[in-house]
Amino acid sequence: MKEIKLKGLNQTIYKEKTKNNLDIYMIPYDNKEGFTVNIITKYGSNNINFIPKNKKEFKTFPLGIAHFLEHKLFEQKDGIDPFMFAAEKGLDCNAFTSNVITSYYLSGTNHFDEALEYLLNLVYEINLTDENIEKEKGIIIEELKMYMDNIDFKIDLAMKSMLYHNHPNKDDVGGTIESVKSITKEDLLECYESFYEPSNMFMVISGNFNIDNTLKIINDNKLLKEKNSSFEISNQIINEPLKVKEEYKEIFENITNNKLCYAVKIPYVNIDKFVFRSYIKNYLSIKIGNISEFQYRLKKEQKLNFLGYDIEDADDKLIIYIFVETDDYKYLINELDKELSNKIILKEDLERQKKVQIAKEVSKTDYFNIMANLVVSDVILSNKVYENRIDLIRGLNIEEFSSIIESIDFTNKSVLVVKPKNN
Amino acid sequence: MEYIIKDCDKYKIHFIKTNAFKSISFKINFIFPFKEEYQIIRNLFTEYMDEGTKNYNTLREMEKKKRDLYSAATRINSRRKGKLFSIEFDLTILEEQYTEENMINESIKFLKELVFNIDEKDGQVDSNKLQLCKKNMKKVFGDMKDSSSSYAHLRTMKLIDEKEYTKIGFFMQDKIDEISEKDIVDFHKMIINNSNIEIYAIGDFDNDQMENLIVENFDLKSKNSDYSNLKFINHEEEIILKDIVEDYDSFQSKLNMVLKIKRENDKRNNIIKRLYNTILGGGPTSKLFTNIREKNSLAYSCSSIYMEKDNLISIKSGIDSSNYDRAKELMINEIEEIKRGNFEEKELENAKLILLSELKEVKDYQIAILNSYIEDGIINESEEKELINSITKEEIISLANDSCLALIYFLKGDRP
Repeated sequence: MKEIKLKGLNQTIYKEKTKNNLDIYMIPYDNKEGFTVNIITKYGSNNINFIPKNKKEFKTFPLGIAHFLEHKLFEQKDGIDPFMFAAEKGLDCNAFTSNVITSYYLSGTNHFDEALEYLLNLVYEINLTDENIEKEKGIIIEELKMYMDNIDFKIDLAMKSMLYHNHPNKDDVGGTIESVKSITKEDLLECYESFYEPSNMFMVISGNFNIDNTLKIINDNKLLKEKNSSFEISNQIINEPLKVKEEYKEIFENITNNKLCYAVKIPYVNIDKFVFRSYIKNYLSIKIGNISEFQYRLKKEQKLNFLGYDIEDADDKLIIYIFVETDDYKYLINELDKELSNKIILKEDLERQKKVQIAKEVSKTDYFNIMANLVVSDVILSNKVYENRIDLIRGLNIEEFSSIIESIDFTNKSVLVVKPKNN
Repeated sequence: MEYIIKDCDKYKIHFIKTNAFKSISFKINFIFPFKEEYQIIRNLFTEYMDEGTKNYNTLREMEKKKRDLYSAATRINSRRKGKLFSIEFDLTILEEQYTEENMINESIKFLKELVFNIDEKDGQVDSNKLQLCKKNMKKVFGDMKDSSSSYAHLRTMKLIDEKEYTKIGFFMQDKIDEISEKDIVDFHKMIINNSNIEIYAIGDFDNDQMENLIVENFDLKSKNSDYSNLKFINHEEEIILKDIVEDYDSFQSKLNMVLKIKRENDKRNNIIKRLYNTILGGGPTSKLFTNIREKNSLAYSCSSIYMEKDNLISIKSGIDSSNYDRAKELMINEIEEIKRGNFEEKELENAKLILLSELKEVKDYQIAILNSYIEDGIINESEEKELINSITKEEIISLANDSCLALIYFLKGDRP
């Protein structure tokens, strides 16, 4: 078992691997009541074109199939369904699908052993019937409709269709009503058998639990033991050009206030992803964050109502999203162009940012569920846990910062303006 | 965990000692009775206070200061609880062992600045900043209108509203522009001078040192009024069911219902109400979720929440408009089934397990410990467990029969 000591955070994570290559990350806390058990497959909505297990040719699957499969794993053959199991033990159970993973969890304060056993049995067995698949379509279509009424969701999808040419990030995780209707039992089985292999999955367990006992339950699990394939997924390689697909678009929606989404597409440079992302987030915070001269000035001029930002991974590229609410979007676009291209950064600003970033890392260790999410994010990002995260933050320096920012072309952008329909 | 209450003459300080966290949180609560005229100004006031103080008079200066305090988190909130309003100032900081010496002292001084040092001159707040706050507030209301689920919820609460103190700010937007620069300063003075004041600190610290720091910095005088009769809204009136359909431009329709509960507000009844809600629509094994979503595939979401201070149970679902009659019939049927006692003992036992688990989970979150203490005082876990476990099926049936369906609201959206 490997001990991963998070330097400067007074926290240790333990990593073990089963004989059939399921990675297990354990974060024990002795001063907490609760626990969370998560099992994750590196299979998300983006995996729609791959060579299924025991096949030789690439096959394209309907959009939204990973999410559909997530719903279907909640249908148990003989035993009680997960919601009922959780209710009977006073636990919380759920799952979610993203572009790159599907994650299942059970959390609570009692019945740890049964929760762990149950979650393993849940993902390593599937019960598909034509009847239960048809029933699920109705539920999923209502879920899609709920999102279709959500303006932020609509903006997100519209924006992605402007940024990406081919990358599946452009599609809704849940698929479309048509694609969901077209999903068959055979499709679901092929995806399940290909991606729900221990070697393509990992577990993150955090909170109040005993490590030895946990490993014993995992190693003794009958269904997991039976999974002995060394199958490796061949996903279709995505050829996504760096240049954005569409630079400017205006759309009309049922909204009261103008909204502006400004997104920049940049390539990852050849340094550690954690470090690169830290520089980008710090740059955004310094330039256009709450503390920036930019926000201060535009708010004073009453040109800016709200500004927020986020970043998104797309394999070897990174997308910076900036969301703005303003009455004068033309002015704001121009101001953002100028601000992001003005690449002067002060050392003192970076040092202040580092202080904030370190404080946030310390605060995260107070909460076992946040730490579980941190491990999941690290593993997805770089297939490891960043044990030296505090040192990496301390090591951020103005020379490297300036040179990275200097190399970025902030003009490779898509701008979406959303206007009220009745104007 | 150790609870200590210090009565320091002018107000009470509540210390909750725990070493389960690396941070320390503070809360200062100002509590005063509802007045309709406060409904808009209390929100505008918190917006304004969030934008900066006299010494840190822009959001930028505030953020800089918070970063210098190692990413201190602050929040200023306004809530209605029953017939009372509260204005809450919160501050969370890291322990000094993760930052540097004197940070607690510095942080409390900053909290003092946030509470007392409103950015004003000659009895008037900054006009530009106030305009910006008004604009933001209208924007938030605009966003609520744009979201079918938020709008359905607001309409539901408006239609159930028969009492002045449940009036909703969203429907009083015309009042925003009436509030002047002087009104905000007067409101600030009112909460400082005319509220019940409680101060809370949770974390690992030296009590005496903390008490001295608080007393040195907070020259406040609590009004110490007895507001116990204002904590809850009771429904003594005759309840006549309203059944309302309105149109909205959306793909999915929202079908909401509201139950009014006619029952005392003591501890036992509160547990019975929570258990009843859990059985009805409080989770994925509830009657509503199981029957509307799982068995009949009519909705992705169908759930209920218990609004303790208002004695209401609010049911929400998202359905296709063509399924309106069927979903409505099934939802009403589930409400009736509990009244008739048609549910298993096991459903009650499962609901109890959820409450027992929540009781334990509180200890893992600093803010949850604090909120639980503010609402219910010191909780004796074993007594609480005993109370939860003692509730019978008959008590749930009786409560269900004291809960009356008051509103069915359908926000019809049938965009193809």
